[in-house]
Amino acid sequence: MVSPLFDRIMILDDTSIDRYITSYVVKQNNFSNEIIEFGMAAQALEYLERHFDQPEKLPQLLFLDIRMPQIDGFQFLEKLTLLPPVILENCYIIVVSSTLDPADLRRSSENPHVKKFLNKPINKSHLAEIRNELAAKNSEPSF
Amino acid sequence: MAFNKLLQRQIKKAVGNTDGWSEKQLALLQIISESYDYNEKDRKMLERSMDLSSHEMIDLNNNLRKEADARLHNNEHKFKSLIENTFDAIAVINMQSEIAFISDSVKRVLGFETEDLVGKKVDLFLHPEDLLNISNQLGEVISNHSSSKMILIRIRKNDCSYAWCEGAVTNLTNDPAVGGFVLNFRDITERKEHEDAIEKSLSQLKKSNQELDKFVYSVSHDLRAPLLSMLGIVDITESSTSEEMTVQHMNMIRGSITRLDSFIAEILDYSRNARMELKRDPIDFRKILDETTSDLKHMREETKPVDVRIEVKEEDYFVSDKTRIEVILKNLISNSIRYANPNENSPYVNIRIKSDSQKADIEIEDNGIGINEEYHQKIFEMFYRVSENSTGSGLGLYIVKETVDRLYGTLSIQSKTGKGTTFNISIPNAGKRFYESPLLITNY
Repeated sequence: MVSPLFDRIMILDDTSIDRYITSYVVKQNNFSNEIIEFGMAAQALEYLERHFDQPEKLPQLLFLDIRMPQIDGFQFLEKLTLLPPVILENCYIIVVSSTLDPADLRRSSENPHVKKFLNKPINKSHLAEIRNELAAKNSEPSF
Repeated sequence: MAFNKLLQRQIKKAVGNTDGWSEKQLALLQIISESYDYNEKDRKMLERSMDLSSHEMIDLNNNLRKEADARLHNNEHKFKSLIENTFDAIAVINMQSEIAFISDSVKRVLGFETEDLVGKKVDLFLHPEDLLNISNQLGEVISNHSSSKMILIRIRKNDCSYAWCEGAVTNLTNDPAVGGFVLNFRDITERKEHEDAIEKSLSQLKKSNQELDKFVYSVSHDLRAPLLSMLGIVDITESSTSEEMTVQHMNMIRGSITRLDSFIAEILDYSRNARMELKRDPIDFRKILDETTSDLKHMREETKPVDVRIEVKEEDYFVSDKTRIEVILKNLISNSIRYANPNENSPYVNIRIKSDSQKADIEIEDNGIGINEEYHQKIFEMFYRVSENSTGSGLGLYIVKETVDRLYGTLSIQSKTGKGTTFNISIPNAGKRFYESPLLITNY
């Protein structure tokens, strides 16, 4: 079996069943060694701020939901830019949503930190897509 | 013999008298005397004529002055009668920014008497918030002589309320008949209030439209989200079982979820088409078709693979509403794929688009199961479904028809059971319409 593509990824989604699905697919496809899950943006921000100087704790990829209570996905990204830049620099951010609102798609594509937009639910072929894109972008992944 | 008087005086002064002068000498003097006379006459004539002309000039000057005075007087009179009889209220403001004169109509508009206003500083009657604006406007008319500026200001009335007044200020400080700024205005408070009310209700409408938009997207999201969670669970259940029955059941659940999900998407498309204003976007048909067909790819995997062939000829820039064009193409192409003929060895859908400066002709031809002619009219009705085998919601073609209508296009169908279906759509080019007839585009 090939070694996992990532050491650590983070899932930020207020719907627990969707976190379950994503983490199940990630595990099943040997996508990441470790999965950090949060249901609230504030908790995720708190975690990232606390561990910004510990690279072994920071996620290399983030599956980010848009529509969440209190702090939504886009607000989360804004707040993230106020944290030490090392967090964003080393994190591949993917927005995951079930939205049909073109404004959400536009905002995602306009955000410089968002690398990709995926429709829920996350499945095997989504992960293959990410794998291929990263392979194409960097023939020798630094992860 | 008498010589010219001047000559006589000169002789007397020089030689005393002419006694003892010879005949010849006297004859010479006579000639000289005549030329003296001549000169004298000439000079007198000149003097007289000069005298005459200076008289004339003085007269003329006097006449001119009289005429000018009369004209000025007449002008003042005309000016006053003009401003007294006009419907507009008129006030003259002098260089000391005092009200020098008001027309009767000012009393009517503002409810003041002449003595309440004349001689007072104009600032006392203007809304404090407008003062800066007015002094700016006056500055402009001063620096630009005899020019006039439109103004919209609030003027205090006798009852202490303010009237919205629209008018113009004209610089006539150089005109001796006026010697000030002429302010003509009319009370448009009522009109302004109407306009403000319209503006307010427009912005409220816009706001409620935006709120409705937000509501529609939120509802569709919240309806979809649990469905998509179910889809995720179906996916992982299927991928972690080898039991054939379970796989089959999971596929059935997936089919139902997908149907419900596309139904939600269709309702959203319908409400968007009904409500959203038409937009004018440059249309790149190839790009739209690429996106649409790649969205439908996963749908094709589930049924028999349908060959999608695309042929686009763009002769000119085509402008239309991108979202609506996408809705039309997505619905028709997905129908062709959904209703592919299961007995057909090589099912296909041919998409031919030809656009020019006037319109875009879209043809979508398939060799699918076809639609019996008796249903051709009914298929565009809301929630109409041809048979129990229809897996759609019965909204797709209704939305297509509504959307084509909204784009001022035309739609026709040719179809035979077992042979296939061809839709022909023609959509006017909103770019050309705009340039040729800007009026038409107001509908746009």
